[in-house]
Amino acid sequence: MKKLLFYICLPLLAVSCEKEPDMTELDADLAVYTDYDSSVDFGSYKTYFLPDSILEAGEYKATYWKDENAMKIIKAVETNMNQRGYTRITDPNEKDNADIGIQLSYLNESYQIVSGGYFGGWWDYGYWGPWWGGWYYPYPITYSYNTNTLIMEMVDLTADQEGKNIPVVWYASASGAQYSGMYNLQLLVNSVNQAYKQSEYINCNK
Amino acid sequence: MRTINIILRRTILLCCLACGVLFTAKAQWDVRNLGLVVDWQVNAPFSTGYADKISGWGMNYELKYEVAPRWNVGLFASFHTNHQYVGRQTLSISPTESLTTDQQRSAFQVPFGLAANYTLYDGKHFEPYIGLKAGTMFARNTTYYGIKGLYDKAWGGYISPEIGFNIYPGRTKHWGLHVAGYYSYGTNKTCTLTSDINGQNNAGFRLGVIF
Repeated sequence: MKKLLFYICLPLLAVSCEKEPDMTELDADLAVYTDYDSSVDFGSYKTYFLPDSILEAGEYKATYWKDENAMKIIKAVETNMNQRGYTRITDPNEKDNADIGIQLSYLNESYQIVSGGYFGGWWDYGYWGPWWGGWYYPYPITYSYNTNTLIMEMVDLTADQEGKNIPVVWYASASGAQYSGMYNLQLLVNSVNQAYKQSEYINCNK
Repeated sequence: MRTINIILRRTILLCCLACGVLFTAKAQWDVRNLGLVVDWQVNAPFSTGYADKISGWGMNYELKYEVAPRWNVGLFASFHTNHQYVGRQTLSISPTESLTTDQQRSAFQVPFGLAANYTLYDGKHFEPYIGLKAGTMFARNTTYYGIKGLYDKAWGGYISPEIGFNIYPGRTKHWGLHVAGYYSYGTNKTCTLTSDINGQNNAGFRLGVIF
């Protein structure tokens, strides 16, 4: 009897250890990250130049995103900068007179996974019975997912230009999964507002 | 921290010495004195501020030998995962860096080592006991956010006092039910997205079978 019960429970020893968390609990919103050069006084800048397009990083060469959706994102940046007391220079011929430049970039990445082996963890280990350890594919599988990232960089155009390199004094990125193969314009606009919200040091009104 | 490590090392050494003494007390090997415990485990980390939501995603295994009347010593290994969802908030991750996101936190622990039990009352159907586990623990804390995740893993010393009882429903003690409550402390030190964890406290209970 003892031996029988021992063998009945033996499969429990082989149960896979780690339980994956429920990733569906995470919201679909973009993660917004910001960093800045703490030696810079953002109150010393007065004017900024903001191009009317967003650089789209491609596989071979960059293109420029200029449609009405791009304009809404650029408008969100302009609104935030103006609210902080900065003045936009709109004439490209006058951009040399700007104190700071803002460059926006958009990166759309697709990850193609071809693999046998472990995938996901969406179904619980014990769903089909405690004697099963985990999941594996005895044949290659293919799946893909898309991500998108909006990058905002603020460069100091008043810095010493002897080195010919322009310092980036503020960096912001908003990244997340892309659903239905399309960006979500509202999430991108919200992420611009959030980037400024968590960067209160960008202020000319001080 | 250094003091805790020294105390832990001394405790493990003491356990090893005690095992040696007890083994000599009942040197005759008898397979009937061998016992296996398989438990389902409910664990709640506390004082870490990280993935400290109670969960039942764990198991505990013990292989024990009765080395003297009322004394059992052996080996144990267990594992446990605790998760905690943290809603969207702005985190200050360095003096100049900020991050706004929600998080799915996951704490995974695997302690193993030596176990010793003393039976308080050697009843026919009921056996309460006190025990101590000492050894080492592997811990990995992972934070998932956005399309990323970051983790840190560390080894540490492990100690766990335990109190519990065995219930033998049959006429013999060939098999029974096992119930135990425990506290454990691991000296593992890990870094997470928002803070450092220096030492891991846990409390929980186990339900299982003993052969």
